[in-house]
Amino acid sequence: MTLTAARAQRPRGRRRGGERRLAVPVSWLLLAPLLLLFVAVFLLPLLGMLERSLFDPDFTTRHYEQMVARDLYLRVIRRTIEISAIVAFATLILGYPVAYLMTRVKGWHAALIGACVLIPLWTSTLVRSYAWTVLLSRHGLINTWLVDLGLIDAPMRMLYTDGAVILAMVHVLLPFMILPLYAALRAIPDDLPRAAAILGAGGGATFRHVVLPLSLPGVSAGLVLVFLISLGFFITPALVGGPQSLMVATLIAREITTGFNWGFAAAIAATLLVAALAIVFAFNRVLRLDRIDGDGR
Amino acid sequence: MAGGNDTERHGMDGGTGAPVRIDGLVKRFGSVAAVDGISLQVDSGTFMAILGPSGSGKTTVLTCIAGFEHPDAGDISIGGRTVTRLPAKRRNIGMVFQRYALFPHMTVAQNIAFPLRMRRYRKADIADHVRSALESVRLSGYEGRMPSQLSGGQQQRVAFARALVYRPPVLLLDEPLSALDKKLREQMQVELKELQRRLGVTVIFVTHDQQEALTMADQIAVMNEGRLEQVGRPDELYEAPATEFVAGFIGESNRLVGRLERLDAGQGLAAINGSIRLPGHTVAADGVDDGDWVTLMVRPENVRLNGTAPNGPTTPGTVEKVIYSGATNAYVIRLDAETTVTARLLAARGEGRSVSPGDRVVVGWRPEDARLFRREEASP
Repeated sequence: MTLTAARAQRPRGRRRGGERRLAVPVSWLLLAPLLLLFVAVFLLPLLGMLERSLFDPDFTTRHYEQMVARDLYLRVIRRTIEISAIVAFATLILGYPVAYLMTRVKGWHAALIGACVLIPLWTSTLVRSYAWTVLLSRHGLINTWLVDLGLIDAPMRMLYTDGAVILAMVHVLLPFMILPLYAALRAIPDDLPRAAAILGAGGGATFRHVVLPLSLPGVSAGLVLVFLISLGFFITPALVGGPQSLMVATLIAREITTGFNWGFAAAIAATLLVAALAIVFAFNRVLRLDRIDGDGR
Repeated sequence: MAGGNDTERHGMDGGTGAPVRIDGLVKRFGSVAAVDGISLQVDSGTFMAILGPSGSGKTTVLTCIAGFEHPDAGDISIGGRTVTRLPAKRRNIGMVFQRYALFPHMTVAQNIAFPLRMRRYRKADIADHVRSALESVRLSGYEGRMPSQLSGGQQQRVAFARALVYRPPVLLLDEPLSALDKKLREQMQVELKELQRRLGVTVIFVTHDQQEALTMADQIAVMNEGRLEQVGRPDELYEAPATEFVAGFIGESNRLVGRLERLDAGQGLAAINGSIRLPGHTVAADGVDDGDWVTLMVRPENVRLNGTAPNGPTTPGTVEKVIYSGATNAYVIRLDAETTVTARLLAARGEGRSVSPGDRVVVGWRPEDARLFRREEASP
């Protein structure tokens, strides 16, 4: 109740000093269940994994050496990062217009678009990935149509390629881009585009100078979210990707399930984690600098 | 008018306004007519307040003038040019929003430069205009601040500077003072009026605050349920309200509902609720006949106690309470079980000094201070 009251009192777009807050001990108490859960099922296993990668049973850098020695592992990590980045930017380009449209339409149009975004999210990734194998296979729907239409002479190889992996991942991850973008775009008060219009800006200029810069927090949230989920993607690349488009999660799983090589798998996972953190950190730095620059004058 | 060629006219001095004409404006949202056929002429350089309760359609009129909404019928012209089908960006209007609508990701200077950039002013000119615009709202040195680092009053000054820096002939204000506290608001009222006089810009000001409208406006248009009730100078609206709504919305008023027994120019007799008889004639509104249900309206400051109004209607009553409020005091007089009349007397002149609760008094007013409005049914 105190929280809602404080929120309601705060004038839009302005921060006040005398904001009411929960007492610090109460806040910690409320946080405690989630915090304990995080420590128990996330932080401790993570530390355990790092330990496993460095102690076997005594301290050793053997697993890391092994990984660096064989070009394959670093190559797969690099490709995983590349594919994840491509997927993140592809969802941004495809998702932004959808999110923007969602803020502009009303009534059943909005409900329809919302359903189109959310229903796939409720459908199992496994089901959607299998659906892509049906669509993309040599005798799948798309090849059959293309041949029937006379656009290609013989069925193309679509399944088990990087393209198939990217396509299916973009499809699965699109809602994770659209939702933060939508939230950021919705938070822009109607008055701002109106003010831009009355000050002489057309639709394009209003978008470029007002809407786009103010939606950047949503852009960065969406990019980071999709990128991080992509890095650990397992089912989709395993189903629609071939041996050439091996992603690092698949590789880690193989080390554990077929090689029982826990220490080595942990080393790959730790490397991926560090790489991901570094990229997200660098990305946030760049974006923040960009925002201080204002509208890029 | 606001081309890139006015390097000589720095800052926000001089300049001219343009007349605004609204003809038969209709705007529906679904089946509801927010604006239901409004015609209004705003002369060049006039400070026009559109006054009405929330939901009266006053903001919709403003958004139609601005070009954010397209009317279902009617025309709007600015400076003789019809703008009804023109997009907002081509109307060359200034506007200050209720919440100022400053761009939060731009500095003060970038906010003010925005309309100039959109009009493709030269860079050097933009810097000059921004500097003198900030000077004229007394915010020099704040160029590099972000809007979130400014107080509400300062944000509002920036909003005014941004709305006027390209010298629009018409300035729209959407309750821009409502977010300020009382003292700052009164100070801004004076400054705003002074700024408008200096610029000669036509101002259309939407407000629900009748005090604000009376203080600032040259002309007031009172709106109710999508229609115009009356347009006139503040004193006209206050002293000669055309409808019961205007009488009730602007200023304080006593309203007595009753049936008109007999009314003639020389020797009228109005009976209110059958029990209160008001001998002496009352100023009649057009179309009021004997036997009609009427509302009699009289301002509290025009109500006299104990026979100080010669020739006017008088009626006896009992003082129920006295409300002290500094310069004037309000005396609530009970006439009968359902009816009270409030008299507002100047404390400094010693009026009503001898009157205290429980006293029997005679209530009266000058005939010309009362107005009669016909009403459809008896219930108030």
